[in-house]
Amino acid sequence: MSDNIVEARGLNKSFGSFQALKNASFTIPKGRIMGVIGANGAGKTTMLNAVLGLSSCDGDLKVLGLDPRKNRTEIMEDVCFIADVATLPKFMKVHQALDFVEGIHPKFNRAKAEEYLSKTDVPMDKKIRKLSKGMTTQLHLAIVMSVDAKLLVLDEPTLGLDIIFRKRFYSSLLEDYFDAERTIVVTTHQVEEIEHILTDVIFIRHGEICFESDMDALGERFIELMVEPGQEEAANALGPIASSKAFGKSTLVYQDVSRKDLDAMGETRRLGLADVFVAVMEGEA
Amino acid sequence: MDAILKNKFATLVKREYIDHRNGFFVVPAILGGLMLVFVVIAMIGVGQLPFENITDGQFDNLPDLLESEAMQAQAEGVDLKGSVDSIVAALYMIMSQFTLAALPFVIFFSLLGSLYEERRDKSILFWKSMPVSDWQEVLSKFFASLVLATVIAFGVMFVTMFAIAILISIYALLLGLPVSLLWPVDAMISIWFGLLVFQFANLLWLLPLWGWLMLVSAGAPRMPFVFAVLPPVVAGIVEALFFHNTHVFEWIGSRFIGASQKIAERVVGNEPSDFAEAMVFVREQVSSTTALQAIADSFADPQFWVGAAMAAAFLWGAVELRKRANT
Repeated sequence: MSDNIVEARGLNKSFGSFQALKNASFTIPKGRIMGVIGANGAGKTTMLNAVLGLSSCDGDLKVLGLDPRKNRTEIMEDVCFIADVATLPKFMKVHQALDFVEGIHPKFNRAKAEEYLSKTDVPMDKKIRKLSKGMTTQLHLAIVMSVDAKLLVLDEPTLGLDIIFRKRFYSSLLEDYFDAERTIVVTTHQVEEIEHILTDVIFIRHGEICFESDMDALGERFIELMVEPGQEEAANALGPIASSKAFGKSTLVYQDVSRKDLDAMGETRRLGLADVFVAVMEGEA
Repeated sequence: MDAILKNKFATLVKREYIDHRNGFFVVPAILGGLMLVFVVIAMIGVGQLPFENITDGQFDNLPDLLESEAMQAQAEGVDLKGSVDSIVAALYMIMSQFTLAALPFVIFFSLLGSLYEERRDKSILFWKSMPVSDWQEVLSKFFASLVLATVIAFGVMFVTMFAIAILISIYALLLGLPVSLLWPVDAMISIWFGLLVFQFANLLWLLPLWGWLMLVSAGAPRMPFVFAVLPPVVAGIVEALFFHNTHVFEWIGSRFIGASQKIAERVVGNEPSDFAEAMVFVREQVSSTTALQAIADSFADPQFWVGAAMAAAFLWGAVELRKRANT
């Protein structure tokens, strides 16, 4: 098997006349944390559903070497996911949910899950229906982190949670779970919060993958320039993809332009992921 | 691998039990408890047993009935014990059968909700994040609603039957009657077991209904009850209006009486003429070898296998629909 956890070529999916995925191709190599960024309705969830075998689609798709449309059950031994809505069974008590996963999943380590939960306020004897939103997410995270999986898919996992909890969510994911053998795919609107943990990023718009890069290269490829007075013409000649004005100075954003050239015209800095996203989306719109 | 598979199935069925504990266990337990309360009230409050006057006032209460039966048996030189055993066991059965009153509804609605509720509350996304195939899911729900619910309800009935026997024995002791007549344990168990077999025979004859409910449960966008009931009713009405036939309704009806009909054809020879005979007949009807044989024979009817094949097709459809479901 290749080192790619997911290989997708030419994925298409339509809902009636609405095309949710257009010829989407991407690979997710082992040991990466990939962010999938896009506006609402851009096709993120559709893309993840295809990878997880939750919906049909056309095109070549291999997850861990298997076709999720035919082998979902086998794939799920090595893949975990948290959907963008609360999905834990509300009628179960916390310990019953652990019993269930223990009985079903050959790679679940119950002791590990209980250890995670002991560090939280989640009560073992309460029904999931009675848990707060934050506790439900903590429980779900404890379950998926205790499964020795190769791929973890998180679709807006921290939606509607407060900021302290969101920080803790991602730090425990990074510290207690992630290693070179694991791969994580995550979508979120709170781009700033996952920026520092990502190794790769994909932008998706109208069902198309319009940009992909690894995070190290991203800092080199996108540079923001505060243009010194008098340099505007030269700066515009280099083809900025976005521009704005503040405090009487123009700020320009460049893609794939040598930093040395820009340094001569003013102050440069690397662009945050959210700004890159906005620049790319607006630049191409 | 086999052990893992069994463990998985047991885990899935246990989940169904947790989900449906109220319908599967609490409701029959409450009904059983209510029956015991009725018995106690009848004994303390009214001073007589609840089954007095069942037979057009021929007997006022159990002691009179037993006494009369004993005298009759003696006069005819027949085995007193067998006849009285049947009467007593049948009475216990009729009373404790109250625990089964909700069972058809529990089965109907748990199947109808089985693949619908998980879509409505999105928990299907959690179940699908587990290495469990759609076949295993559908079959575990089917099994839990039909077999587990039935076995639990019959377990509660069994306990209720013996609890009633204990209560009546206490009553009899206070009246100074012979308690030994009130404990026909063999007859009680065989009548209970006969009823259980009869229940499963009926469930099997109704397989197409259960399969249909699961199919609707997997596919209905909302209001599964309407989606389940409307098509056959409309089909029947259309047939009646435009073709002046009633094949649809007759066919559905035949599913409900499949097993009973065969038993009736075999066992109903002599109409019971009085209460005691009726009780003996009840026992005959559910636990005699003739009845068991009739049930076994009913499965040789091609109509039964047509129904079983339809159920398999419906279940296959339910599995295919579930494969495609993601909310």
